[in-house]
Amino acid sequence: MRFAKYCLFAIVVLLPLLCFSAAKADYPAETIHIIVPWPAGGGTDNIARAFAASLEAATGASVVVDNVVGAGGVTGTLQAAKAKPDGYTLLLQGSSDISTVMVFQKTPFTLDDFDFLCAFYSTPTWVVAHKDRGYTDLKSFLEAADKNPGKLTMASATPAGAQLLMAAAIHGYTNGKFRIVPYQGGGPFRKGMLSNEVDAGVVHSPIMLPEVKEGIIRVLGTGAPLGKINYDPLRKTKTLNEMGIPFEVGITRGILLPRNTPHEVRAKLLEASKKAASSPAFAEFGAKFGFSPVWMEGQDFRKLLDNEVRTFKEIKEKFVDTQKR
Amino acid sequence: MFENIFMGFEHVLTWYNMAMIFAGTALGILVGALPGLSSPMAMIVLLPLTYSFSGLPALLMMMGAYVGTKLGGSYSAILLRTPGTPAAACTVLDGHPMVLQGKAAQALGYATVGSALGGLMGWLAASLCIPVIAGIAVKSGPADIALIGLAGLVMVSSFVRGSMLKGLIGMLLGLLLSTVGLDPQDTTPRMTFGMEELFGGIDFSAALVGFFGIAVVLSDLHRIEEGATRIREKVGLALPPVRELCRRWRAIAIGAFYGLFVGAVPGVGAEGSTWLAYATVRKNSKNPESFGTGNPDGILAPESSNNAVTGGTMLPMLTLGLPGDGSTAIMLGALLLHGMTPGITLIKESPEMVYGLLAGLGVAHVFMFLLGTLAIRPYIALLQNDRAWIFPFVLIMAMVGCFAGTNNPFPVLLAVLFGILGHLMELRDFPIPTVVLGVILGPIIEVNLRLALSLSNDDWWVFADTWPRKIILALILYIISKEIFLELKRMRLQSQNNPTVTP
Repeated sequence: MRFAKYCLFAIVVLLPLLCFSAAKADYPAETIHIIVPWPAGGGTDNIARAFAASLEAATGASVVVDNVVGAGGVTGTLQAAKAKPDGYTLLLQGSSDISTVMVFQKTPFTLDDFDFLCAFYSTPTWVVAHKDRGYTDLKSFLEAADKNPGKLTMASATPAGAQLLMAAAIHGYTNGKFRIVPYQGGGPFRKGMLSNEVDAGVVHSPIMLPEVKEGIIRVLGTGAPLGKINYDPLRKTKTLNEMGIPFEVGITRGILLPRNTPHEVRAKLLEASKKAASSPAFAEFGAKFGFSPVWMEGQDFRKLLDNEVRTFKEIKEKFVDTQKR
Repeated sequence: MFENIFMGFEHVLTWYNMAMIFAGTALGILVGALPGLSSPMAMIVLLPLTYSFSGLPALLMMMGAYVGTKLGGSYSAILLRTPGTPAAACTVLDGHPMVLQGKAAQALGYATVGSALGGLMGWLAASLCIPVIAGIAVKSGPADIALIGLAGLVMVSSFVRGSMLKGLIGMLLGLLLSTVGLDPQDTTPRMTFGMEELFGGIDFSAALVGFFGIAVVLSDLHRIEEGATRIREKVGLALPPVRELCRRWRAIAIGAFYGLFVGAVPGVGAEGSTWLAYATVRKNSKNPESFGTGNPDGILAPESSNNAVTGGTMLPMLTLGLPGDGSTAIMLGALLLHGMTPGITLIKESPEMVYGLLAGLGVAHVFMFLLGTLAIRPYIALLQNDRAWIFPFVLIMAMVGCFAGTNNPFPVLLAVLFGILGHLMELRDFPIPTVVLGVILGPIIEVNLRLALSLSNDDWWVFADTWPRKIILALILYIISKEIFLELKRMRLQSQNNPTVTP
């Protein structure tokens, strides 16, 4: 019977809590939920938790991160699209994480299902290689591939993501003589690079940055300018465009809201987000993360995504669909 | 080398940090004991709590939870036949039969001592050979990991009780389930029936909760009245006599060895090591038939192994920033949140964190032992109540664990489905653990096998081109041929003993 007492106790304690949360007042009066469609501990999740802490300070409301995981980010994104547009459910997602699923799969949502609030981190995708391979830039890798056709490998950190498209674009535009090997995410990719089992690899920066600083890994090229990275020697890294490959790729992470979120709620949230993104605590996180934050408002974020979906589709049709991997 | 370890203890042995480890360990045992909730879940719950702490105390609390769940999982494995964590699944085999023989206290004692000794051995070895083993682990390629996974599958199918054929069928069903979802290389949807929810594959927590939690509840429902007596009696804990432990040191040492080794290879995880240790101890035993009927070695080996894994996973985690399992992946995330960059630079940039965590691992095992021996009653009280009371609680907590991993109700539905399937299979004497092992190891083997082939340009010789690979391959072939040989011999003996009646 002791067990029954425990249950009763739990009900007595929990019931008032439930009642309190039903009370309503001026926005934000309730807990704000940020949906992260990726598991706890990853890049997007880390940014979300730092942002949540800063947003909490800026709004005074409590802000929690919900990791809604599954189907390559689709589950969480869909849940946010279907949420009540009251400003209490936010989605933190990366631009190329959305655009690649839209390009590679049939998704149950479109960009029009969202109001775009703002974006605060923009990190290019880069090509890295182990120092023992001896490549100094992408050109030396491609030359080595030409000398040993079909022998060299380039890892992509995901099987169907921006990294794969970037590898395919390099492969296609330069008529490269290397093979593309898809890995299962950042962890296995890091291990593969460190154990030097693959010749080069494509991954979102700043993954591998500590090893780059250590001199074990070299950056061969980048999908977009590395001006915001807080490691000087890499700022001038050559972009794909500068090397004659007309493709720009990176991941911009920001906040999306369910469509038709009331105007005044959006305005309040935008103001609070701006305050949060420019707070010293968030800048401090950026220093640890490896990049300085940027500030991009909703319409620009949307434009970036439209553009990404278009160019990604192009690259996929041109270089991925035509190749049997 | 030793000054570094002492420096770690210096950072950890403050009242505040000790309190954090203690709280973490106490929570870990509780979470571990509740079926369906395992250590990644405990740590995700702790993650937001630790924001307000500074780095080391936060991670020490998680370390406590990580260690505690490994012991807690065995409580429910032994008493309820439902492993609280996947790593405790193997403990069911001999732990529960001991309970049926009225030796619950002894079984819990063996589990506690095995966990503590195995964990401390793992900790000691981890502290001593951080540079050595990490060097080996980083060199293990996809082909090695695929082979180790395959060895695990072959071993489990070779020691299931009853029909080996049914064991293989169960394992293949597990492998089949693990292929659901997007193809890991070209992202073709496989067996998703167009359902978005299945694109990410079958959530592991759904399989565990379904096959182990719900299926067990269903199987035991019609036995509530007859079985209630055995769980009603007061369960305490009886530490095994030292002489007995000395006699069984081999099981503990083998368990710790496998735990450390498997833990150090990223991606295989504690589950695999427990089965490997169990199989090895059983095969080397003088009377292997006694396994599965309540042999204390069958508790000591997996328990020692799953705690030694915590030492093993520290090697790649602290030296390379590579997670060995879900829990260490979350710890790495927490390191980042607290401003440290995991990777090869960590040991140089913040040695107090690396050696502090190592010291914390040792302290957590001491706390775990103390909590286990001195305060087992409150934990058991939860599991010891009349089963009719417990099952709804088990079901609810299992469902919560199932839901909380993804914040999505779909895995809960899957778990119910697996529960019914598991129940039907159990009625027909299929060994359920083989299904779950297939689900766990399937993706690991598939991904690494295909990666190895991609890297070698589809050259299958890659699986036999280094000495470690040749050895593992030889081991796999040896087990298979031995099983076939034994089966043939048994069949011949049978036909000799019962000559078929000719008309």
